[in-house]
Amino acid sequence: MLPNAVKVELDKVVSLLIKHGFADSYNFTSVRRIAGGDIAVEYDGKEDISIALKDLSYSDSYTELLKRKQYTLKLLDGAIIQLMYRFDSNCGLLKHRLCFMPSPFNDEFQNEPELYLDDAIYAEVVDRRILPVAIRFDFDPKNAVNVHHPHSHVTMGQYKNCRIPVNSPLSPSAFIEFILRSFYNTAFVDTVSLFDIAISKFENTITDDERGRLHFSMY
Amino acid sequence: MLNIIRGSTNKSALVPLMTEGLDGQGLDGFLFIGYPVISGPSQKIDIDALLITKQTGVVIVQLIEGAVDEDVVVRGVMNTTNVIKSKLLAFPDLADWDELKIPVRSLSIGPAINFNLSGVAADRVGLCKSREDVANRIQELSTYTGGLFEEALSVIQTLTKLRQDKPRNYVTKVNSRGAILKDLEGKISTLDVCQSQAVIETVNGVQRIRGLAGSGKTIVLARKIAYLHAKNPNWKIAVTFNTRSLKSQFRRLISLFCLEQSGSEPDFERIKIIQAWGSTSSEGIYYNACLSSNGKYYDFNSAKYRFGSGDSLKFVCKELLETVEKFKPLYDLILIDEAQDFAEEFLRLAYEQLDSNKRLVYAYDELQTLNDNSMATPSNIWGQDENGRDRVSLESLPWEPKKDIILNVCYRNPKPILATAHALGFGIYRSELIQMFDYAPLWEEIGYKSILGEIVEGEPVRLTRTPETSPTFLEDHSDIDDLINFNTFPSSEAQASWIVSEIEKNLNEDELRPSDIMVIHSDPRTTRTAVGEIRDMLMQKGIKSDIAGVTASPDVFTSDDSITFTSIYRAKGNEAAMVYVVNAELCSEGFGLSTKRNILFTAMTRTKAWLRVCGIGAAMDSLKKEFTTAKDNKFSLEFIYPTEDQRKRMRVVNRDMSELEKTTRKNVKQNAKNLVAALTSGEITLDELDEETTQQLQLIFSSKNKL
Repeated sequence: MLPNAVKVELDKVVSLLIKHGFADSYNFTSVRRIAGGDIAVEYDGKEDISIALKDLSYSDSYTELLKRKQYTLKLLDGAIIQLMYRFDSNCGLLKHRLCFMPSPFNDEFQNEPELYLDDAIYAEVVDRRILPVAIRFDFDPKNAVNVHHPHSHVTMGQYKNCRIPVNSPLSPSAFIEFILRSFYNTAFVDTVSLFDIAISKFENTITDDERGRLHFSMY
Repeated sequence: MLNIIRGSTNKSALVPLMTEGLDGQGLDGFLFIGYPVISGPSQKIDIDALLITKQTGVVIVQLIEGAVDEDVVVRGVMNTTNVIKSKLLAFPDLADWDELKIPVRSLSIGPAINFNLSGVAADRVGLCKSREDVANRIQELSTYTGGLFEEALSVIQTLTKLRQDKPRNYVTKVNSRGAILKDLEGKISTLDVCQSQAVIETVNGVQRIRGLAGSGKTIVLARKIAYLHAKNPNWKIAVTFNTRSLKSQFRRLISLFCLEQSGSEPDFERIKIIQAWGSTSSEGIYYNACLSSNGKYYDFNSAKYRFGSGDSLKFVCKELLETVEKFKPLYDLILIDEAQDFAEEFLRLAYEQLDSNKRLVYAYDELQTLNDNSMATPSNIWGQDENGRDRVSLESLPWEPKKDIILNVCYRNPKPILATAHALGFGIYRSELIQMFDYAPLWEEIGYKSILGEIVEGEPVRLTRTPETSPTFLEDHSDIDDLINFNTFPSSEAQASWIVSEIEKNLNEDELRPSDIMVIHSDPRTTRTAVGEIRDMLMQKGIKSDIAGVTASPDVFTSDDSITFTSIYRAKGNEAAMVYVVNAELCSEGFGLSTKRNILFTAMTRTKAWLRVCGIGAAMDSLKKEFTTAKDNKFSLEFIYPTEDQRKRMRVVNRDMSELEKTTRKNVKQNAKNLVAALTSGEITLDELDEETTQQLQLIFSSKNKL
């Protein structure tokens, strides 16, 4: 996929999330040329604070990101979603980071569920039994090592060395569809017919060794 | 006229001498007793009283008990004068180089003093030993020509920093909406009489403060806390409320006022701004009460489990009150805002957490729910003592601090908007009224004048707001049709398109900022999905929007670069210059009409300047008709005041209904339809119905015709 195609798909997805009430807040995404001739497709106002936040607790990181509006989307339950792609000057995909960071604070829902119970969109969110988990899909071929650091991998719960192989980089629609279907299922199912964005795919980057172990795959 | 605001002072014996001396002097302004509290270089300085009038400028009153020495008196005058002067000098409009443009002088009342002063000292101190001395001194001081009175008053009331933090320097067009707002925001703010009373008058007992929408209640309450904290730094004060966004508002305002007033930050170990419920992670009135009395604590979920649906806080407070014999006094003062959102049991529990003075201040916006029955009387809340007397009474004598205060001036909404909001809220121009105050004089207390004299049940009534209670500068800036308009659309797409194009205009031509615009949806349960269409259209045009929803900091409502969309719950307590109400037709008719019209009232009263009410179809048309009638009546409310029976019936017909009730009613109505169908089709004839039923049906129909 080319940078502009990624942005167009990303915009379509954001538009749908807004239209159907999933997104509380968002930032516009732009295609920008950056130092070295690379092309970045990311949200406006992105700051590089990854190192500053490196050793903070999850809640502190989350709170800081929220305060500084470092997200592509903020969902109805406070979950933050970041979608960032980087291409080289020939429009080849260099890396991507697709994050889902749920809010560690869900007092509000627990304390005033009546406000939320009627709307199916909140069905999962008010369930007391769940433990929300942060999920990050990274494409990072520069640092790829067979099996230990797959080209495309998914990290769960911010565990440093959790890198579950994924067969290829993910498009915005693939990622968002996965998040909605898994964690906001009730409302998603009601509106799925309206999610008419085709899920685009990238070329496979998974190795045979990685495929021989548990991994995520999309055909 | 001279407004006397009675703060607390321990020199109350000298107060009558002072007030009698000031009486009949034709003074216009305020006499603040026990106010302000200012910080000097090394210690706090209590001002016994401060007189500020158009005739005398600022006069600092010293009340001197006993026979003190001359240098004590002189030093007292010097200290207080300099401290007040420096406070005023800090404000550029009041200073001319290093001189004040408004005079600051002294009046010292010391009937037991046994010396006399002469020369400069006599002139500066203004020593008075009797009422006549006071009157003479005032005559001497009445040389001021009155300019800058408002500005000085504002500084004394420490309201100067209330102005917008973000100046509108980008405004270029002379008459754009941005320019109008810049002007409105620049207006000097001062507290009116009721507000001053609410802030300063302190009761050793229960005090009730009621506020009209837009009456500045939050500011007033924050000022009150700042004043009491400065006066009594050792008091343990608890502040609680229902809407979460108030927490940071209170914290910010209390800090601001303490800082401006006494130059130091408040001690938040003494002022606890806390939730009503509370838990191990954050304090709360209920939680603290459980801990201190070793009563069983329920968290929200275990309460739901134990007591089922309904107001959980009510049940847990009830149980705690029933199981604990005696509570330990935890606070010197508790302030409860939004008291109407709490059950009586919570108010009772709060009362028990106080020491014997029982200083409980409860404030509420009952007047935002249009129903004076929503809040119980003190008699009902706290009941009677062993002798059958009410434990709490709100009556006070004229020279005592007031226990029952109503803030009747609306500083936010232009008169046409507030009057329309009341008209629609009560259904005044609807075919039938929806709700009405049981206590008719309440209309006057909230700032309406009854043109036809005393309000009598069953008789016509005409009510209008006065320029005093609805300042005209709020409406003078725009035409009526620009201030408020109602718009019917054939479909939600049409509604969305119109709103989007208006917002574009607001941002591109009118010089408004995104934070000046608020879009409110009428049904809190479907807000999120209902406004999706509009937000998406805005996104396509590059205009960002937020839904005010659940976040880690629910206190943040507006954003600099996005338009705020909100349901009515989050909108409460907030305001914006341009307000769009979406799908207003949902509030037009139907089940629970009282609640629906209350929602409409709250939505409409969020605006500081302009209002656009939008909706779809015939239901919206009928709302629009009610508005047009109000407009034709020049925004006065004209109706026949309903009798008690009529009001009872209204309450029944328009009440909010539980789910069970709704289903039952639906079934019953369906049965009636089925009966009619069966009778019409001949499936059953009237004769086949038993006689009793037919007779009762006849009675019901004939009496309906009489109504």
